[in-house]
Amino acid sequence: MMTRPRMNAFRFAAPQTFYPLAGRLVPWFAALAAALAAAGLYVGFGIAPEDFQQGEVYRIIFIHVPSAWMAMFTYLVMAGYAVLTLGFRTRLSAMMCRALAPTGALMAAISLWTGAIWGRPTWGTYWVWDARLTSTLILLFLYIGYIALVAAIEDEQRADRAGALLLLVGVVNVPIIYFSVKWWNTLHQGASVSLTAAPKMAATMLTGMLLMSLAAWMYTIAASLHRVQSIILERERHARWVRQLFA
Amino acid sequence: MTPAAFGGLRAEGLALSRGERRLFTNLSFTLGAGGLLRLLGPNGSGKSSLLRGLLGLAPLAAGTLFSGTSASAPPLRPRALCAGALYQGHASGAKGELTALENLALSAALDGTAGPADESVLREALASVGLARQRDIETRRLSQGQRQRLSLARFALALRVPARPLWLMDEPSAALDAEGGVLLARMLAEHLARGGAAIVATHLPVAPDTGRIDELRLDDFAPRRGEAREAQAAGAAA
Amino acid sequence: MTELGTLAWALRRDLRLAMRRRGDALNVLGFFALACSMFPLAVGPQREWLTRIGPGVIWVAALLATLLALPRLFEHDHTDGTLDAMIASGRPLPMVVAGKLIAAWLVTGLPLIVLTPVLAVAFSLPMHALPTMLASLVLGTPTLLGLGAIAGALTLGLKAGPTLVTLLCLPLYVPVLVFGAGAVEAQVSGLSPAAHLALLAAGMLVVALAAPPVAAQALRISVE
Repeated sequence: MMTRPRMNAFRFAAPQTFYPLAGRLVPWFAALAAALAAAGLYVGFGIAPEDFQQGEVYRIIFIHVPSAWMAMFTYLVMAGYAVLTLGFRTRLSAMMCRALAPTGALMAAISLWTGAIWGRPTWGTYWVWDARLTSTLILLFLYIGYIALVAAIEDEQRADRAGALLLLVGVVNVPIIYFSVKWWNTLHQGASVSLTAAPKMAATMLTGMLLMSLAAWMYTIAASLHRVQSIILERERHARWVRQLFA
Repeated sequence: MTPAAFGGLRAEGLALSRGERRLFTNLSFTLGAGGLLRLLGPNGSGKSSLLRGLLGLAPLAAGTLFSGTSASAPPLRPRALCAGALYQGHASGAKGELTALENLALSAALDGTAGPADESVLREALASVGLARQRDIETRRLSQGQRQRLSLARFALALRVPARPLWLMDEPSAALDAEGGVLLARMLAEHLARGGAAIVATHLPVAPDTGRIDELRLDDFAPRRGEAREAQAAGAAA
Repeated sequence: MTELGTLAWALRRDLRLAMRRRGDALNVLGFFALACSMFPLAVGPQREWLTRIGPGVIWVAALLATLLALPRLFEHDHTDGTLDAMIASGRPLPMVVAGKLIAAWLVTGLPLIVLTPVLAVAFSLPMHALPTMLASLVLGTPTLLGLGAIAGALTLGLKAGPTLVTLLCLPLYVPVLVFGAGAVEAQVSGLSPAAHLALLAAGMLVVALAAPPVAAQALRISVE
């Protein structure tokens, strides 16, 4: 059933109006991301004191932790858009899900990779089955599952809705998965060393982590908005406004 | 004969897309008790999709359905037609590993047209469509035409009860021989005479003797070239 | 036909179909036994080692064997049009799904559980841990099937279906595996498995209530 498009806020829910808006926003968020990252890296690598136990290597935490947080947060945002997709059949919310997914997966992958870089000199191994790394690995699989499902379904509407349902099932399970992995990890305490047993946080370290987290957030917004523009163009390629853009 | 209480159906402004293609737009029709609506059109024009769309199996991009032919009839909620309709799609709708009788028993229980204990009724229905001897044969061993007749047996059972007055049939005469075609026509005539209604998608003539026949050519409602793309881009939801 | 009537209809139907295709159930059992047998062949037959990994191996094998049963749940009905008939009939679809899930558990889960004591002996599992092993499987396999049904419904008719189902299910299966195998290992090392089993039971209840409607919605999305 077709609903009459309402004015004001819902106007931007139409891909046609959102496309130029996204285009205007991308540079701002990209600039913010760059600035915050510069500040965060400066604090993390320049100002924060060296840890007496781990030396310089621990500084990778300024990338490892914010990217893990961002991977988690992005999944939650995707789940929010999934609610809109299923509840209101809006196309743009489904496009935002698809736009966010690769960046979220990238964040999870970066977190795992930096975890490995940290692990090698610190504990002599590239991988430990600690609670956070394992949870992040499972989160990466959730992202891959979503991307694979949406890619495998040819019908776009079905893919949008199936992906949205998968996200909702996933988001409900994520706290359960985190909890169970934590439980599992504490049970088998002797077998692994925890990367979360981090050195005591000096205030500067917290500032650095916060700045990097914000930088990751701004980057995710910029990257997703840019990506959603491509998705909009592809999905709406038969519409007159798109053809006029490239006329 | 048990009277079938079909209350009427009105469709206004229906539109449906399949994938990227808008199949039809602004399609409207009215169907009253005793009426037969034939859906005509070439392959791919949306006959099957319209049937599925009426039942909520496929999403309608636009339009409303009303539960009566008068102007004041209330609109139907999506999927509201299902409970009073009997649908036969392209596929056989029968499990290959089960016998004809077992399949019919399952369908009858699902449709509410015969209980599991009514074996004599089921046998009678099979006999009426000419499958008396195929009763205990696994459906996968039946020919295409025989499987089509098995589908007809479902409708034969529905003639006995008022539960499902609206019949939606997608190419019911495909694979049927001349005798089967006559059988189908007779069943439709009887159903319409009882006050039921039917929407039949077919590109072959289906001519019952009684009842009002309307025809709907789906390619008349296909969007024109430029319109198709506009409609689809502007359509569905915000 | 009432709601429970629809469930009973689907349950009887799927059980009858399973009896006509006995090979499918045997496949699952065979895979379960074979997968378990691979491990001693791979890691060596030392008893202490096998006892240590036994609960985990049995649990993982049961989990993977359950995955085998999933494509059967909806695919056949989808190809021969009976799924469309069920949806078009107006009967409550979650009840149909629930009936099919119960049938699937009786045909797949229950035989696995019956075979488990034999495999427990093969891995020299201490006998006092066997009841916990069985209880964990009884509580865990319905959850696995329920979650798998959702994945199966989402991937209906796709060429990459079975592989995709595995990819979608495994992250969701992690908690069940952790608590299931964890329960047995707790029991083996003399601790109480009560907490694990309680969590498994809670999970099973939630999935039993939530999986049928969610899978039904997924079926509607896939059939559109």
